[in-house]
Amino acid sequence: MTKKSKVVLGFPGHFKEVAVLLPDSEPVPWTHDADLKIVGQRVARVDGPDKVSGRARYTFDLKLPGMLHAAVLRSPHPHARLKAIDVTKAEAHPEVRAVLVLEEREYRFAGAEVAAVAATSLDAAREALRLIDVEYEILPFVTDPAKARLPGAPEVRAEGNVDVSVAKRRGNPEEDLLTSDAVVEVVVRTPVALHACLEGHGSLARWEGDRVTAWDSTQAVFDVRNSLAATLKLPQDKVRVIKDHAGGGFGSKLQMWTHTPIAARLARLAGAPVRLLLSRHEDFLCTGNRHSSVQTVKLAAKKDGAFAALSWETYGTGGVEGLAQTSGPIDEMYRFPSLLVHEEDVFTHAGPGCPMRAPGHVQGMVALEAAIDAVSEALGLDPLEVRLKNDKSLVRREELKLGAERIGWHRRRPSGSDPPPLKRGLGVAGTTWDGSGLPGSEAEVMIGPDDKVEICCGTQDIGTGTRTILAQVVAEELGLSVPEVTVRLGDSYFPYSLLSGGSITAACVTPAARTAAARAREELLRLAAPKLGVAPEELQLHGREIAVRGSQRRLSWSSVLQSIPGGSLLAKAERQANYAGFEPAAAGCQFVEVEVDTETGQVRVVRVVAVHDSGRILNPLLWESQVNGGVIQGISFALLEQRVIDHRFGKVLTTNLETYKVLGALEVPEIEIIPFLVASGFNNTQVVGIGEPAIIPTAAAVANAVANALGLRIDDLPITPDKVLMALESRAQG
Amino acid sequence: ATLLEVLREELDMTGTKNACELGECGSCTVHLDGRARYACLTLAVEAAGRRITTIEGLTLADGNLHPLQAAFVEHDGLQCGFCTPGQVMAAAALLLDNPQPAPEEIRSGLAGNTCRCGAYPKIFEAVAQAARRMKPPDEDRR
Repeated sequence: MTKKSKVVLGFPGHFKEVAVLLPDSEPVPWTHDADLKIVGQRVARVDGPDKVSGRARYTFDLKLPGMLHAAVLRSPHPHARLKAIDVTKAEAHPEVRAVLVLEEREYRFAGAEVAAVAATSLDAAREALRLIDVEYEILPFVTDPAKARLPGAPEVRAEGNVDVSVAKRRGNPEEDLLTSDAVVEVVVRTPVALHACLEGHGSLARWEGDRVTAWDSTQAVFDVRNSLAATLKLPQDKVRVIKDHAGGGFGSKLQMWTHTPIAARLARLAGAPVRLLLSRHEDFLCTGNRHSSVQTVKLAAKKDGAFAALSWETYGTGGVEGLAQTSGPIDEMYRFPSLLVHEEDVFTHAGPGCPMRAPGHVQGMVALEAAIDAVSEALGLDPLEVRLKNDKSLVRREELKLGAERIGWHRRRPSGSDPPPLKRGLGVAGTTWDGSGLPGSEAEVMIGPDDKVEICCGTQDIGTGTRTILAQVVAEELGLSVPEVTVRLGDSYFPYSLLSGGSITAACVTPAARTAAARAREELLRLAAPKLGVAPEELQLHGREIAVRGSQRRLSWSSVLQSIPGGSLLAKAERQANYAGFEPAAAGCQFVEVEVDTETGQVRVVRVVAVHDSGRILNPLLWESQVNGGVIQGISFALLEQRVIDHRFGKVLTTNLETYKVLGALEVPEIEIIPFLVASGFNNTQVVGIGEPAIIPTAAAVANAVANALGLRIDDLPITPDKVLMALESRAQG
Repeated sequence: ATLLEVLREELDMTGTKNACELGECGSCTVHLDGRARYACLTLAVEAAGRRITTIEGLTLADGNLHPLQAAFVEHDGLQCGFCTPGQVMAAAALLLDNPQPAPEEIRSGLAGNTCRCGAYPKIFEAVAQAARRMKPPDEDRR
């Protein structure tokens, strides 16, 4: 049931009262000026002490009595079919307890699973793999997406190597692209990137009768449970998935990968718990990646900078998986009267792509913002002014002005005008992401014996601080302090929760937690009312007591709880559908200053100003950490990261953290973070996620800053020194 | 066996993490005679008869956090926390060697430790704060 209500949405100077339909079973949304004591404070991470002391146990740290160790035999060929396999020698190994040959007989990337072994030690398991005799029929392969698109290319899928994923048109793009005052074309290339979570992928599985428990390093205990139950042909209630702490995810742990059922099946065969932890090398082959892109973008604008038309043609590869589109941000951000979009997924014989922090948006933003800078340059206009003219979001336009002031945009000089060898440049890019959450997640609040208050929710804390914000919201609602609230999460036996990805977690679980806490309070007051001889409406919480308003009469929680069976009360709530929001997506923008050394080709990011909104900021300390992380991963993507495949052999060359370089302590710039507060609406805590928005603009802004420094564009990421030097050289030679 | 394997698999001291296996990320940083070492690149036999300190040993005997650990919590010098024990141990070795490091010295002292979540700015703040609090430098407690 819903009730009509009014909420104030917007930001200072732009507040408006909006009539919305609110679920009547929920507390009314916290307003932007609500007097909150704990929500909004810089509360230290509640699991911080466990993590800094090494007490926090991650999946990779778990052991069980009698546990076996598993290892996987993988296809060394990018494309092969199994002709024959003989595991008898492996089975005869004295330390081997189980051998499993997988049902899949065609391997479509180097690293695909063929068989697995469980043994009493990892060394023995690896030794046993070498005793397995396999005869492969080697098949033609293609790992280069440019070649995979061509007619006659080796077949990756029966349906063909190319899928048109998006085809869209509006207005008259062909004509507008010819007749506008300025038309530019940019070709932006982005590489396949790897999530490179420091805790890789792994599972520990144990059977008790016909039930299996999997401790899995995952962002989605319920999705893994569902997939594992389906794979093992078990009812879902026979499968339990637990994840206490996870060492990173970034999208690579949103789905069940093959290692999880392998561990479970080996454990069933061996009659003992089995732990299967992938090595760094394996992790880089087969547990997801950010798809590549080749984006040909034409942008037409009028003299005054107003966009007339956009043509967006792309292809990209996520290996044996699709989902390579990049056009998501286009219509969310700017007005394009005419539009032509054609995007292709190209399938190749390489490890599967999967979502990676703001999938598609990161790549698409590089192309979109590159085209905007190029067309501004062609028209002789300030690229900031061109954005302000075309941006749809009132919030982002304000953020752009604020950020420009903080970075000192007036210092931006005509592109390439600094004298060598150290050339500075400024660049800007925007962000857009809908992290307003979805309905469905549940939370349960228990007030129990000894005044114990517990919030239980099957969600995951992947390092974003979910535990902490849940404790804050419950403490706020019940008038407690954060240490008085215990948080239990990461278990599919707990109340259902959606996966932790897409920046939805805070907006999914905190409204449910708040409602559950409010219901627990109401229940406590209802139980106390007859004892105090007043109506529940006349009561309020006062610390661990229930007080009659305007009087000294009080009862302790425990005296109320003692009177009910079990001595504890439980209140559950489910996240309801979103109500209206101020703007459809979180906005934000980042300004970047770089210094390019024209003698070495080295790009150094000097300073970043990041202006972001995400509704109510529940905890500025954790929120800033998310922004720092987005910026740093974004610079890493712009300057360093690329998975390299030797297309002659179809093998990944970057299989460790030395060859797959990520940004480190010496390369981190000064980052200034500016929160832009928006009463965003959507849900009763009025929070919107910040994980993805923070990474989306960074690489785009870095590329634009480099172009400003050099007076030429390097739109082939990562912008490594060799590319800088070659671009300068080819300009010098005319 | 490497020191890392012995610590994690035989002694079940899992505070020292294994992330790259090849001496590239620093998640397994421990102290050997007071100096930072990658446990994954140290043979267990090399450590025989030498003083080894792990993250578990940095925590004070009464269970309280070492000032560095406390500063990491207070400044949120972590996100997923998987690299954190290594970061803390690298920072502790730095402060033993150089109790009042300049900002650039903090960065170079931590250059061997990767944080994929990108917690660096707050890690730097935490180390600087701990250095201020530990002045005069803590006596080596091990």
